Amino acid sequence: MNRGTRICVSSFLLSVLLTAFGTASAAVLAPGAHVADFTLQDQAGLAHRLYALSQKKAVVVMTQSNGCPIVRLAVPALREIRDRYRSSDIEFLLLNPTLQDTRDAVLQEAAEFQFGMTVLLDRTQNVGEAWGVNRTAEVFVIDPKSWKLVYHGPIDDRLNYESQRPVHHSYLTDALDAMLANKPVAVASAASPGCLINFPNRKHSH
Amino acid sequence: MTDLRHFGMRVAALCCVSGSVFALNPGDVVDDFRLNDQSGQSHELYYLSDMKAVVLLAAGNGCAASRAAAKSLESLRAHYQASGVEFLAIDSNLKDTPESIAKEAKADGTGLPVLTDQLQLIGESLGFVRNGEVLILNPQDWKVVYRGAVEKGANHYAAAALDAALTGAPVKVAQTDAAGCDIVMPERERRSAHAQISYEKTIAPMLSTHCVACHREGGIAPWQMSSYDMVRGFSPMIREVVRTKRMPPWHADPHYGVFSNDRSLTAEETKTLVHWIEAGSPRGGGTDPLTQVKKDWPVWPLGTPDLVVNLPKFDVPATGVIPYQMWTVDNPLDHDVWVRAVDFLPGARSNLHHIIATIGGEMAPGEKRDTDGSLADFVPGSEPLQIPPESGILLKKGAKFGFQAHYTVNGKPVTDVTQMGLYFMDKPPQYRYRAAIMANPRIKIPANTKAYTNDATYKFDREVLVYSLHPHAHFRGTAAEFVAQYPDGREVVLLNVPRYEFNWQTTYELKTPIVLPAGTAVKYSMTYDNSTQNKANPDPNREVPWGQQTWDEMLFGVIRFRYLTLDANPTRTAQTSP
Repeated sequence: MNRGTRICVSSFLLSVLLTAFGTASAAVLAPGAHVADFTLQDQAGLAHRLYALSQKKAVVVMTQSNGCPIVRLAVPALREIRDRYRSSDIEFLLLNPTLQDTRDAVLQEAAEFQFGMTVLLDRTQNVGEAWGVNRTAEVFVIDPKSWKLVYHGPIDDRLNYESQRPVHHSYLTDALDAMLANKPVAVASAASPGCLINFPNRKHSH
Repeated sequence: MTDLRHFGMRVAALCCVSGSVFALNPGDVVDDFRLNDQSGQSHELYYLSDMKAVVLLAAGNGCAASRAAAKSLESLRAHYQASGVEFLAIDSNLKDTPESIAKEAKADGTGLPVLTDQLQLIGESLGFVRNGEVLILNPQDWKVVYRGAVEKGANHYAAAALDAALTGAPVKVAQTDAAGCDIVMPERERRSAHAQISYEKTIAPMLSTHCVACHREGGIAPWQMSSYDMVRGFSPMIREVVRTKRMPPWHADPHYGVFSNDRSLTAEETKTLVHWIEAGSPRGGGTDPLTQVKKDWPVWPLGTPDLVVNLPKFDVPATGVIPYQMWTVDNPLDHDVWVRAVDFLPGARSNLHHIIATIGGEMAPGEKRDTDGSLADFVPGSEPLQIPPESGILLKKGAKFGFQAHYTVNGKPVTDVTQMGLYFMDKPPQYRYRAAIMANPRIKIPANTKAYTNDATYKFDREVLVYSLHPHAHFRGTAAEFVAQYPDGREVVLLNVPRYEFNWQTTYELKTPIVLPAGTAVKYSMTYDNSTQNKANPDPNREVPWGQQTWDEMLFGVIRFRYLTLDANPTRTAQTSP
């Protein structure tokens, strides 16, 4: 690498940093946005490539971190939806974009809480950064035909901090039903309670 | 001279460049917070998610610009409130107290709730610089849509921004300069010093003292503060739960009373912790004290109990809402005893949310019986009940223990067997440790109502020494207050719980027990939120009656006390409020 390139790269990094600190909120992947390919290992060490799922009807990814009560209560609900849609050829995955959860720790959490699901480990936080992940229990629904995001939000409106109530809006299954019927998703995003995940390089909070 | 002035300008310019990192500009997101207003009412920003817009005013006593802005907002409020715009003032000035704020608001005749931000943490994060400035937020995404003056001459900036926000149109002028009085914020100038706050010497010891009793292996908390990495990973969440007063789980307004079981961080600790997180949770040098937290917590901190009572086995499912469990357990003793202390040993610590233990069940309103019923409560993180030495609770042979147990789910099924440990006195006490019950079984909470308040009063016919206060309600309970009405007409707030939290059934133990003269009435009031904005509300469309289960409601308060003069007959009949 010659000197010119290096200066160019460092000034680019600087401008990225400045931009990151200058804006308060992370660039959140908006519904309709393109989702780039990635490859991540799961808790068993197996590699998973997003675009290898191109034959699926939908890809559902829910963010997870160990020790978060909301996502612990959301996983059984996601598992139930996965079982209900088993014949519809939809992929369900968990994504752990935290710095602190090691592979062993995720294995232990998955066993203790009987996840029965693949957890993608994103310890570099590249996917979490690119998607603008903010909290655990955020669900991203991706259409493999176009690799576009079609829904971003909670599974439903049941869970909140230290509380839960009967479901009134089943956002995720509504989105999946619309996709399976080739209809547009009516509610493409909703506010999503969960544990804030630390992305140290991203932003300043207000 | 010229040079000096020049230097000063450069410093100012530098300060503003670095300050801009923390400035809150249109398009930026405002994080959630909870503050009390000048009358002790709690306000959470994100509770207002059903509003069309939220207007925040940086307010300060004795500031003409702030006063003028408040007056202008009053008229805007009259116009826009019906369209779903909420108006709040926030006072982040160190010199202003809830009393002085209330006094000035009264003198000015303004009706805006003024949130008191005495720690300045919220004002700092909102980028408040001077009183008189307003922020307008869009509750859809909590982004700032306008920042600046309410108006300037013929330019009605705030009104124009609200008109745009209400129609979903972009705000044309999103930022203006607001004239006003500077807010003194010492920590704002010390941002770089916050990166020097020591994890080893300051943060980890603070967490060990206040948090680790629950956030440890085998503790009730869902995650363990077992290392720097864990704390850093949860740092933004710690900041959020501290700003919204969800953690530590202590819900009393610090303005009234001092309590021995206060679980809160001090003002200084809160500021230090939040500033450390805002500085990026730096590790710094040194050891990691959290990796060396003691592993062997005593099973019974008070020693082996004189009697261990096993509660029934209960299978907790992985998910769902579990009804209260009501159990009766026989007292195996063949003689009367006096109880001096009570402790609980939970089987499934992370699922047991509370137990209310009684002798013969809680008394119904108006009921009279030989014992007053109350024994002790268990909540996570609570200390054992230790009754003051000269008092005791009579446990008669043949009496039955009553337990109300509440479990929460955490994603995996478990089985709980909890034990209650009782410690007896060697000889009968001078005084009986008594309970006054304030209850109102006639409550009917209207459907779809954000705030409905009702109360019950208990009049002491003898001079008493009050030890503790315990408010109780279910999912819709949102604020509680105990007010003593003295025979001379004075009213004193004994306890204000501006954010009642059903999940934490706290008994507030007075650090110094207080004497109430004979004839003093204590009015206990509870406010309920039966709207959809209450995220714990199972059904906002229902008029809610009294009932033991959590989908019904209770207006139920307990005061633990003893008579001030010697009990001639400590087993005298007890009674509740009518």
